[in-house]
Amino acid sequence: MPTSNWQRFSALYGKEMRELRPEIIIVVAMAVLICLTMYAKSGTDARDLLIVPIFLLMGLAGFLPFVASFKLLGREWSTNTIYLIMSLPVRGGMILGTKLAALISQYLLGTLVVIAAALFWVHPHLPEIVNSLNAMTGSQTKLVQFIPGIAMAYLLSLTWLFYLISVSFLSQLIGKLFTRFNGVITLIVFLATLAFAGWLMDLSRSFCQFSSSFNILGPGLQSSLQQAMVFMGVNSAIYFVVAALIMVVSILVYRYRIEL
Amino acid sequence: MIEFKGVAKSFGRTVALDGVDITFATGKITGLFGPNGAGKSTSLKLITGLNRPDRGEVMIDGKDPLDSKVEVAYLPEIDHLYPWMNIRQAASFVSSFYGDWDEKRYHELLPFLNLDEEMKLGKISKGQRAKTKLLLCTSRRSKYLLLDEPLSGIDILTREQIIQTLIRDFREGEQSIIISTHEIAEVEGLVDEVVFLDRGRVRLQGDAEQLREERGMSLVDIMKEAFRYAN
Repeated sequence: MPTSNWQRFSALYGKEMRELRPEIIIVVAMAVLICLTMYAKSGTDARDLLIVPIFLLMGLAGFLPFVASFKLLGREWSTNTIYLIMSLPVRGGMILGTKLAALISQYLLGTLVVIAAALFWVHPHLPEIVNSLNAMTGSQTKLVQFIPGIAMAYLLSLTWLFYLISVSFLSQLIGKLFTRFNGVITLIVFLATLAFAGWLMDLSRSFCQFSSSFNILGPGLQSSLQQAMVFMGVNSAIYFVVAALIMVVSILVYRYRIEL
Repeated sequence: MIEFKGVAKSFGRTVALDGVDITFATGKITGLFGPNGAGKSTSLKLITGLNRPDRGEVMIDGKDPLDSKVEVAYLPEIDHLYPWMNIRQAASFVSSFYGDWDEKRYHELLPFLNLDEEMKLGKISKGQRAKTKLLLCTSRRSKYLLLDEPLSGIDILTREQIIQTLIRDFREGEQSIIISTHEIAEVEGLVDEVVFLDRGRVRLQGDAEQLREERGMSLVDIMKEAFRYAN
Protein backbone atom coordinates (compact mmCIF):
# COMPACT_ATOMS: atom_id res chain seq x y z
CA MET A 1 0.00 0.00 0.00
CA PRO A 2 1.53 3.36 -0.96
CA THR A 3 2.34 5.72 1.87
CA SER A 4 0.35 8.95 2.17
CA ASN A 5 1.68 12.42 1.43
CA TRP A 6 1.06 13.31 5.07
CA GLN A 7 3.25 10.41 6.22
CA ARG A 8 6.02 11.54 3.87
CA PHE A 9 5.68 15.16 4.96
CA SER A 10 5.81 14.15 8.63
CA ALA A 11 8.95 12.07 8.12
CA LEU A 12 10.75 14.91 6.33
CA TYR A 13 9.48 17.57 8.75
CA GLY A 14 10.54 15.48 11.77
CA LYS A 15 13.98 15.05 10.26
CA GLU A 16 14.35 18.81 9.65
CA MET A 17 13.22 19.63 13.19
CA ARG A 18 15.82 17.23 14.54
CA GLU A 19 18.47 19.09 12.51
CA LEU A 20 17.32 22.39 14.05
CA ARG A 21 17.11 21.07 17.59
CA PRO A 22 20.41 22.61 18.89
CA GLU A 23 19.45 26.18 17.88
CA ILE A 24 15.93 25.80 19.30
CA ILE A 25 17.31 24.49 22.60
CA ILE A 26 19.77 27.42 22.84
CA VAL A 27 17.03 30.06 22.41
CA VAL A 28 14.59 28.35 24.78
CA ALA A 29 17.30 27.75 27.39
CA MET A 30 18.43 31.40 27.24
CA ALA A 31 14.83 32.64 27.57
CA VAL A 32 14.27 30.40 30.59
CA LEU A 33 17.57 31.55 32.09
CA ILE A 34 16.59 35.21 31.71
CA CYS A 35 13.18 34.51 33.29
CA LEU A 36 14.82 32.81 36.24
CA THR A 37 17.31 35.68 36.64
CA MET A 38 14.44 38.18 36.53
CA TYR A 39 12.66 36.19 39.17
CA ALA A 40 15.78 36.08 41.36
CA LYS A 41 16.37 39.84 40.95
CA SER A 42 12.74 40.66 41.67
CA GLY A 43 12.33 44.11 43.24
CA THR A 44 15.81 45.33 42.33
CA ASP A 45 17.04 47.75 39.62
CA ALA A 46 18.99 44.92 38.00
CA ARG A 47 15.70 43.39 36.98
CA ASP A 48 14.86 46.39 34.73
CA LEU A 49 18.17 46.01 32.93
CA LEU A 50 17.11 42.56 31.73
CA ILE A 51 14.97 44.15 29.02
CA VAL A 52 18.19 44.47 26.95
CA PRO A 53 18.98 40.72 26.83
CA ILE A 54 15.30 40.03 26.11
CA PHE A 55 15.47 42.28 23.03
CA LEU A 56 18.76 40.70 21.97
CA LEU A 57 17.27 37.26 22.40
CA MET A 58 14.24 38.27 20.34
CA GLY A 59 16.60 39.37 17.57
CA LEU A 60 18.47 36.08 17.84
CA ALA A 61 15.26 34.01 17.74
CA GLY A 62 14.15 35.94 14.65
CA PHE A 63 17.49 35.80 12.88
CA LEU A 64 18.51 32.20 13.59
CA PRO A 65 15.99 30.58 11.18
CA PHE A 66 17.43 32.65 8.34
CA VAL A 67 20.98 31.52 9.19
CA ALA A 68 19.74 27.95 9.64
CA SER A 69 18.19 28.02 6.14
CA PHE A 70 21.74 27.92 4.77
CA LYS A 71 22.67 25.09 7.10
CA LEU A 72 19.56 23.03 6.42
CA LEU A 73 19.96 22.97 2.65
CA GLY A 74 23.75 23.24 2.37
CA ARG A 75 24.38 20.39 4.81
CA GLU A 76 22.51 17.94 2.55
CA TRP A 77 25.35 18.38 0.06
CA SER A 78 28.22 18.49 2.53
CA THR A 79 27.10 15.25 4.21
CA ASN A 80 26.00 13.55 0.94
CA THR A 81 22.50 13.02 2.35
CA ILE A 82 21.26 14.80 -0.77
CA TYR A 83 21.67 11.37 -2.46
CA LEU A 84 19.04 9.99 -0.09
CA ILE A 85 16.76 13.02 -0.33
CA MET A 86 16.84 13.22 -4.12
CA SER A 87 16.21 9.50 -4.55
CA LEU A 88 13.04 9.66 -2.42
CA PRO A 89 9.74 9.52 -4.33
CA VAL A 90 8.72 13.07 -3.40
CA ARG A 91 8.59 16.29 -5.39
CA GLY A 92 10.87 19.26 -4.84
CA GLY A 93 7.90 21.17 -3.42
CA MET A 94 7.71 18.79 -0.49
CA ILE A 95 11.47 18.75 0.10
CA LEU A 96 11.74 22.54 0.21
CA GLY A 97 8.29 22.89 1.80
CA THR A 98 9.25 20.78 4.82
CA LYS A 99 12.47 22.74 5.25
CA LEU A 100 10.49 25.98 5.12
CA ALA A 101 7.90 24.61 7.57
CA ALA A 102 10.66 23.58 9.99
CA LEU A 103 12.34 26.99 9.81
CA ILE A 104 9.02 28.78 10.36
CA SER A 105 8.36 26.44 13.32
CA GLN A 106 11.78 27.30 14.70
CA TYR A 107 10.91 31.00 14.40
CA LEU A 108 7.49 30.55 16.04
CA LEU A 109 8.88 28.46 18.85
CA GLY A 110 11.83 30.77 19.53
CA THR A 111 9.99 34.07 19.31
CA LEU A 112 6.92 32.90 21.24
CA VAL A 113 9.08 31.61 24.08
CA VAL A 114 10.95 34.95 24.19
CA ILE A 115 7.67 36.91 24.00
CA ALA A 116 6.32 34.80 26.86
CA ALA A 117 9.50 35.51 28.84
CA ALA A 118 9.20 39.25 28.08
CA LEU A 119 5.53 39.28 29.09
CA PHE A 120 6.45 37.54 32.30
CA TRP A 121 8.75 40.46 33.04
CA VAL A 122 6.65 43.32 31.64
CA HIS A 123 3.07 42.36 32.47
CA PRO A 124 2.89 44.18 35.85
CA HIS A 125 4.04 47.37 34.08
CA LEU A 126 1.73 47.17 31.02
CA PRO A 127 -0.94 49.62 32.34
CA GLU A 128 1.82 52.17 33.14
CA ILE A 129 3.27 51.84 29.62
CA VAL A 130 -0.15 52.33 27.97
CA ASN A 131 -0.90 55.30 30.23
CA SER A 132 2.35 57.06 29.37
CA LEU A 133 1.72 56.39 25.63
CA ASN A 134 -1.76 57.91 25.97
CA ALA A 135 -0.33 60.90 27.85
CA MET A 136 2.19 61.46 25.03
CA THR A 137 -0.45 61.34 22.29
CA GLY A 138 -3.41 62.77 24.15
CA SER A 139 -5.65 59.80 23.31
CA GLN A 140 -7.52 57.21 25.37
CA THR A 141 -6.39 53.93 23.79
CA LYS A 142 -6.95 50.74 25.74
CA LEU A 143 -4.43 47.95 26.03
CA VAL A 144 -6.55 45.50 23.98
CA GLN A 145 -6.61 47.95 21.06
CA PHE A 146 -2.88 47.36 20.58
CA ILE A 147 -3.31 43.60 20.15
CA PRO A 148 -4.37 43.57 16.44
CA GLY A 149 -1.43 45.83 15.61
CA ILE A 150 1.01 43.57 17.46
CA ALA A 151 -0.47 40.50 15.73
CA MET A 152 -0.13 42.22 12.35
CA ALA A 153 3.48 43.14 13.10
CA TYR A 154 4.16 39.49 13.95
CA LEU A 155 2.53 38.41 10.69
CA LEU A 156 4.70 40.89 8.80
CA SER A 157 7.81 39.47 10.46
CA LEU A 158 6.70 35.97 9.42
CA THR A 159 6.21 36.90 5.76
CA TRP A 160 9.53 38.74 5.88
CA LEU A 161 11.20 35.55 7.12
CA PHE A 162 9.44 33.52 4.40
CA TYR A 163 10.84 35.99 1.86
CA LEU A 164 14.40 35.73 3.20
CA ILE A 165 14.27 31.92 3.34
CA SER A 166 12.98 31.76 -0.25
CA VAL A 167 15.84 33.97 -1.43
CA SER A 168 18.27 31.84 0.57
CA PHE A 169 16.97 28.60 -1.00
CA LEU A 170 17.01 29.99 -4.53
CA SER A 171 20.54 31.39 -4.25
CA GLN A 172 21.88 28.17 -2.73
CA LEU A 173 20.26 25.99 -5.39
CA ILE A 174 21.60 28.17 -8.19
CA GLY A 175 25.03 28.04 -6.51
CA LYS A 176 24.80 24.22 -6.53
CA LEU A 177 24.49 24.27 -10.33
CA PHE A 178 28.15 25.25 -10.48
CA THR A 179 31.02 23.04 -9.44
CA ARG A 180 33.45 25.94 -8.93
CA PHE A 181 33.02 29.19 -6.99
CA ASN A 182 29.57 28.12 -5.86
CA GLY A 183 29.88 30.05 -2.57
CA VAL A 184 30.57 33.30 -4.42
CA ILE A 185 27.80 32.54 -6.93
CA THR A 186 25.37 31.89 -4.05
CA LEU A 187 26.26 35.28 -2.51
CA ILE A 188 25.90 37.13 -5.82
CA VAL A 189 22.55 35.46 -6.60
CA PHE A 190 21.36 36.17 -3.05
CA LEU A 191 22.13 39.89 -3.32
CA ALA A 192 20.81 40.12 -6.90
CA THR A 193 17.54 38.38 -5.93
CA LEU A 194 17.11 40.70 -2.94
CA ALA A 195 17.67 43.72 -5.18
CA PHE A 196 15.30 42.44 -7.86
CA ALA A 197 12.63 41.48 -5.32
CA GLY A 198 13.02 44.89 -3.64
CA TRP A 199 12.42 46.60 -6.98
CA LEU A 200 9.41 44.33 -7.60
CA MET A 201 7.97 45.21 -4.20
CA ASP A 202 8.46 48.93 -4.74
CA LEU A 203 6.67 48.55 -8.05
CA SER A 204 3.79 46.70 -6.32
CA ARG A 205 3.51 49.41 -3.67
CA SER A 206 3.40 52.19 -6.26
CA PHE A 207 0.83 50.15 -8.21
CA CYS A 208 -1.30 49.95 -5.05
CA GLN A 209 -0.74 53.75 -4.68
CA PHE A 210 0.25 52.98 -1.15
CA SER A 211 2.06 55.53 0.96
CA SER A 212 4.34 54.32 3.73
CA SER A 213 4.69 57.73 5.42
CA PHE A 214 2.81 58.08 8.67
CA ASN A 215 3.65 58.94 12.22
CA ILE A 216 2.70 56.42 14.87
CA LEU A 217 3.43 58.84 17.71
CA GLY A 218 1.72 61.83 16.11
CA PRO A 219 -1.59 63.21 17.29
CA GLY A 220 -4.42 60.73 16.97
CA LEU A 221 -2.88 57.46 18.09
CA GLN A 222 -5.85 55.37 16.99
CA SER A 223 -5.79 56.68 13.44
CA SER A 224 -2.02 56.10 13.37
CA LEU A 225 -2.56 52.55 14.59
CA GLN A 226 -5.02 51.98 11.77
CA GLN A 227 -2.53 53.40 9.28
CA ALA A 228 0.14 51.12 10.70
CA MET A 229 -2.20 48.14 10.33
CA VAL A 230 -2.79 48.98 6.65
CA PHE A 231 0.92 49.49 6.11
CA MET A 232 1.80 46.15 7.68
CA GLY A 233 -1.09 44.35 5.98
CA VAL A 234 -0.17 45.56 2.49
CA ASN A 235 3.52 44.84 3.09
CA SER A 236 2.75 41.37 4.44
CA ALA A 237 0.74 40.59 1.31
CA ILE A 238 3.46 41.91 -1.01
CA TYR A 239 6.23 40.03 0.85
CA PHE A 240 4.13 36.87 0.80
CA VAL A 241 3.43 37.01 -2.95
CA VAL A 242 7.07 37.78 -3.84
CA ALA A 243 8.35 35.07 -1.45
CA ALA A 244 5.92 32.54 -2.95
CA LEU A 245 7.09 33.41 -6.47
CA ILE A 246 10.75 32.97 -5.48
CA MET A 247 9.88 29.67 -3.77
CA VAL A 248 8.17 28.40 -6.94
CA VAL A 249 11.29 29.26 -8.96
CA SER A 250 13.43 27.44 -6.34
CA ILE A 251 11.23 24.34 -6.63
CA LEU A 252 11.54 24.40 -10.42
CA VAL A 253 15.33 24.75 -10.19
CA TYR A 254 15.44 21.83 -7.73
CA ARG A 255 13.27 19.63 -9.93
CA TYR A 256 14.66 20.38 -13.35
CA ARG A 257 18.24 21.59 -12.90
CA ILE A 258 19.81 20.07 -9.80
CA GLU A 259 21.97 17.01 -10.47
CA LEU A 260 24.49 15.06 -8.45
CA MET B 1 12.43 -3.09 -18.02
CA ILE B 2 15.00 -0.30 -17.96
CA GLU B 3 16.09 1.09 -21.30
CA PHE B 4 18.87 3.46 -22.29
CA LYS B 5 18.41 4.81 -25.82
CA GLY B 6 21.35 6.77 -27.24
CA VAL B 7 22.14 8.18 -23.80
CA ALA B 8 24.94 10.71 -23.58
CA LYS B 9 26.05 12.49 -20.44
CA SER B 10 29.01 14.77 -19.84
CA PHE B 11 30.26 16.64 -16.79
CA GLY B 12 32.08 19.65 -18.16
CA ARG B 13 34.63 18.27 -20.58
CA THR B 14 34.46 14.77 -19.13
CA VAL B 15 32.32 12.38 -21.14
CA ALA B 16 30.63 9.93 -18.76
CA LEU B 17 28.35 8.21 -21.27
CA ASP B 18 28.62 8.51 -25.02
CA GLY B 19 25.49 7.45 -26.89
CA VAL B 20 24.82 4.29 -24.90
CA ASP B 21 22.06 1.77 -25.72
CA ILE B 22 21.40 -0.74 -22.94
CA THR B 23 18.40 -2.84 -21.96
CA PHE B 24 18.31 -4.16 -18.41
CA ALA B 25 16.07 -7.20 -18.49
CA THR B 26 13.31 -7.61 -15.92
CA GLY B 27 13.67 -10.31 -13.28
CA LYS B 28 17.43 -10.77 -13.60
CA ILE B 29 20.63 -9.74 -11.89
CA THR B 30 22.78 -7.64 -14.19
CA GLY B 31 26.41 -6.86 -13.55
CA LEU B 32 27.49 -3.42 -14.73
CA PHE B 33 31.23 -3.82 -15.02
CA GLY B 34 34.11 -1.63 -16.00
CA PRO B 35 37.14 0.20 -14.66
CA ASN B 36 36.97 3.47 -12.71
CA GLY B 37 35.48 6.27 -14.79
CA ALA B 38 33.71 3.88 -17.17
CA GLY B 39 30.29 5.45 -16.55
CA LYS B 40 28.82 2.84 -14.16
CA SER B 41 27.79 5.21 -11.36
CA THR B 42 26.46 7.75 -13.86
CA SER B 43 24.29 5.02 -15.41
CA LEU B 44 22.77 4.22 -12.01
CA LYS B 45 22.27 7.88 -11.19
CA LEU B 46 20.44 8.34 -14.48
CA ILE B 47 18.10 5.49 -13.53
CA THR B 48 17.39 7.02 -10.12
CA GLY B 49 16.84 10.47 -11.61
CA LEU B 50 19.82 12.00 -9.79
CA ASN B 51 21.26 12.87 -13.21
CA ARG B 52 19.53 13.73 -16.47
CA PRO B 53 20.83 12.71 -19.89
CA ASP B 54 22.22 15.42 -22.17
CA ARG B 55 21.00 13.37 -25.13
CA GLY B 56 18.85 10.27 -25.55
CA GLU B 57 16.44 8.90 -22.99
CA VAL B 58 16.28 6.59 -20.01
CA MET B 59 12.96 4.83 -19.47
CA ILE B 60 11.76 2.64 -16.60
CA ASP B 61 8.79 0.57 -17.76
CA GLY B 62 8.15 3.28 -20.35
CA LYS B 63 8.19 6.08 -17.74
CA ASP B 64 10.61 8.86 -16.91
CA PRO B 65 12.91 7.99 -13.95
CA LEU B 66 11.58 11.00 -12.01
CA ASP B 67 8.13 9.37 -12.08
CA SER B 68 9.43 5.90 -11.18
CA LYS B 69 11.36 6.59 -7.98
CA VAL B 70 8.89 4.61 -5.91
CA GLU B 71 9.88 1.44 -7.84
CA VAL B 72 13.60 1.85 -7.32
CA ALA B 73 15.80 1.08 -4.32
CA TYR B 74 19.21 2.70 -4.67
CA LEU B 75 22.38 1.99 -2.73
CA PRO B 76 25.02 4.60 -3.59
CA GLU B 77 28.72 4.04 -3.03
CA ILE B 78 29.00 6.99 -0.64
CA ASP B 79 27.49 7.18 2.86
CA HIS B 80 24.20 8.94 2.29
CA LEU B 81 22.45 8.37 5.63
CA TYR B 82 22.11 10.91 8.45
CA PRO B 83 24.88 10.23 10.97
CA TRP B 84 22.71 11.30 13.95
CA MET B 85 20.15 8.59 13.18
CA ASN B 86 20.33 5.10 14.60
CA ILE B 87 19.31 2.13 12.44
CA ARG B 88 15.75 2.13 13.80
CA GLN B 89 15.30 5.83 12.99
CA ALA B 90 16.79 5.39 9.52
CA ALA B 91 14.45 2.46 8.84
CA SER B 92 11.46 4.41 10.10
CA PHE B 93 12.43 7.37 7.91
CA VAL B 94 12.89 5.28 4.74
CA SER B 95 9.75 3.19 5.35
CA SER B 96 7.65 6.38 5.43
CA PHE B 97 8.18 6.82 1.71
CA TYR B 98 7.73 3.32 0.36
CA GLY B 99 4.62 1.20 0.43
CA ASP B 100 6.74 -1.85 -0.44
CA TRP B 101 8.59 -1.72 2.90
CA ASP B 102 8.54 -5.18 4.48
CA GLU B 103 8.79 -4.86 8.27
CA LYS B 104 9.03 -8.64 8.73
CA ARG B 105 11.97 -8.90 6.36
CA TYR B 106 13.64 -5.94 8.05
CA HIS B 107 13.49 -7.70 11.41
CA GLU B 108 14.77 -10.94 9.86
CA LEU B 109 17.67 -9.20 8.17
CA LEU B 110 18.85 -7.31 11.26
CA PRO B 111 20.32 -10.37 13.06
CA PHE B 112 21.32 -11.96 9.74
CA LEU B 113 23.56 -8.94 9.07
CA ASN B 114 24.67 -8.74 12.72
CA LEU B 115 23.16 -5.29 13.14
CA ASP B 116 21.40 -3.77 16.11
CA GLU B 117 18.58 -1.23 15.78
CA GLU B 118 20.14 1.07 18.37
CA MET B 119 23.47 1.41 16.51
CA LYS B 120 24.11 5.04 15.67
CA LEU B 121 25.12 5.49 12.03
CA GLY B 122 27.77 8.10 12.78
CA LYS B 123 29.53 5.78 15.22
CA ILE B 124 29.60 2.43 13.43
CA SER B 125 32.29 0.97 11.16
CA LYS B 126 32.36 1.32 7.38
CA GLY B 127 31.35 -2.33 6.99
CA GLN B 128 28.38 -1.87 9.32
CA ARG B 129 27.31 1.25 7.42
CA ALA B 130 27.52 -0.71 4.16
CA LYS B 131 25.35 -3.45 5.69
CA THR B 132 22.89 -0.84 6.97
CA LYS B 133 22.54 0.64 3.50
CA LEU B 134 21.92 -2.84 2.15
CA LEU B 135 19.44 -3.55 4.94
CA LEU B 136 17.41 -0.45 4.09
CA CYS B 137 17.36 -1.34 0.38
CA THR B 138 16.58 -5.03 0.72
CA SER B 139 13.91 -4.53 3.39
CA ARG B 140 11.79 -3.19 0.57
CA ARG B 141 10.07 -5.38 -1.99
CA SER B 142 11.18 -3.00 -4.71
CA LYS B 143 10.95 -3.87 -8.36
CA TYR B 144 14.40 -2.50 -9.11
CA LEU B 145 17.42 -2.67 -6.84
CA LEU B 146 20.47 -0.64 -7.87
CA LEU B 147 23.73 -1.28 -6.06
CA ASP B 148 26.69 1.00 -6.73
CA GLU B 149 29.94 -0.63 -5.62
CA PRO B 150 28.30 -2.42 -2.67
CA LEU B 151 31.55 -4.25 -1.82
CA SER B 152 33.96 -1.35 -2.10
CA GLY B 153 36.29 -1.12 0.91
CA ILE B 154 34.46 -3.89 2.76
CA ASP B 155 36.24 -6.80 4.50
CA ILE B 156 35.91 -10.33 3.18
CA LEU B 157 33.45 -11.56 5.85
CA THR B 158 31.13 -8.59 5.34
CA ARG B 159 31.33 -9.08 1.56
CA GLU B 160 30.18 -12.66 2.05
CA GLN B 161 27.24 -11.47 4.16
CA ILE B 162 26.24 -8.88 1.58
CA ILE B 163 26.30 -11.42 -1.24
CA GLN B 164 24.38 -13.94 0.87
CA THR B 165 21.74 -11.29 1.57
CA LEU B 166 21.34 -10.57 -2.12
CA ILE B 167 21.00 -14.28 -2.96
CA ARG B 168 18.61 -14.85 -0.07
CA ASP B 169 16.23 -12.05 -0.93
CA PHE B 170 16.33 -11.94 -4.72
CA ARG B 171 12.90 -12.57 -6.20
CA GLU B 172 13.69 -14.15 -9.55
CA GLY B 173 11.44 -13.06 -12.38
CA GLU B 174 9.90 -10.30 -10.28
CA GLN B 175 12.81 -8.16 -9.23
CA SER B 176 15.69 -6.73 -11.25
CA ILE B 177 19.04 -6.07 -9.63
CA ILE B 178 21.82 -4.04 -11.21
CA ILE B 179 25.19 -4.31 -9.49
CA SER B 180 27.80 -1.81 -10.54
CA THR B 181 31.31 -2.89 -9.57
CA HIS B 182 34.85 -3.24 -10.78
CA GLU B 183 35.32 -6.21 -8.47
CA ILE B 184 33.87 -8.76 -10.86
CA ALA B 185 35.26 -11.89 -9.25
CA GLU B 186 33.19 -11.30 -6.12
CA VAL B 187 29.87 -11.24 -7.94
CA GLU B 188 30.73 -13.53 -10.88
CA GLY B 189 28.47 -16.30 -9.64
CA LEU B 190 25.62 -13.94 -8.90
CA VAL B 191 24.92 -12.23 -12.22
CA ASP B 192 22.70 -13.45 -15.06
CA GLU B 193 23.54 -10.69 -17.50
CA VAL B 194 26.58 -8.49 -17.93
CA VAL B 195 27.30 -5.07 -19.42
CA PHE B 196 30.92 -4.04 -19.78
CA LEU B 197 31.40 -0.29 -19.93
CA ASP B 198 34.56 1.55 -20.87
CA ARG B 199 34.98 5.32 -21.12
CA GLY B 200 31.27 5.86 -21.54
CA ARG B 201 30.68 3.20 -24.17
CA VAL B 202 29.34 -0.33 -24.05
CA ARG B 203 32.24 -2.63 -24.79
CA LEU B 204 30.34 -5.89 -24.45
CA GLN B 205 26.97 -7.09 -23.20
CA GLY B 206 25.05 -10.33 -23.01
CA ASP B 207 24.08 -13.38 -21.01
CA ALA B 208 26.80 -14.19 -18.47
CA GLU B 209 26.61 -17.96 -18.87
CA GLN B 210 26.58 -17.75 -22.66
CA LEU B 211 29.60 -15.45 -22.70
CA ARG B 212 31.51 -17.79 -20.38
CA GLU B 213 30.67 -20.83 -22.58
CA GLU B 214 31.44 -19.11 -25.87
CA ARG B 215 34.80 -17.80 -24.71
CA GLY B 216 35.72 -20.55 -22.29
CA MET B 217 36.82 -18.14 -19.61
CA SER B 218 35.56 -16.33 -16.53
CA LEU B 219 33.94 -12.91 -16.65
CA VAL B 220 37.08 -11.41 -15.13
CA ASP B 221 39.17 -12.79 -18.00
CA ILE B 222 36.55 -11.75 -20.55
CA MET B 223 36.72 -8.21 -19.24
CA LYS B 224 40.51 -8.21 -19.27
CA GLU B 225 40.49 -9.42 -22.86
CA ALA B 226 37.82 -6.95 -23.96
CA PHE B 227 39.71 -4.03 -22.47
CA ARG B 228 43.09 -5.22 -23.76
CA TYR B 229 41.80 -5.08 -27.34
CA ALA B 230 39.98 -1.83 -26.71
CA ASN B 231 43.18 -0.15 -25.51
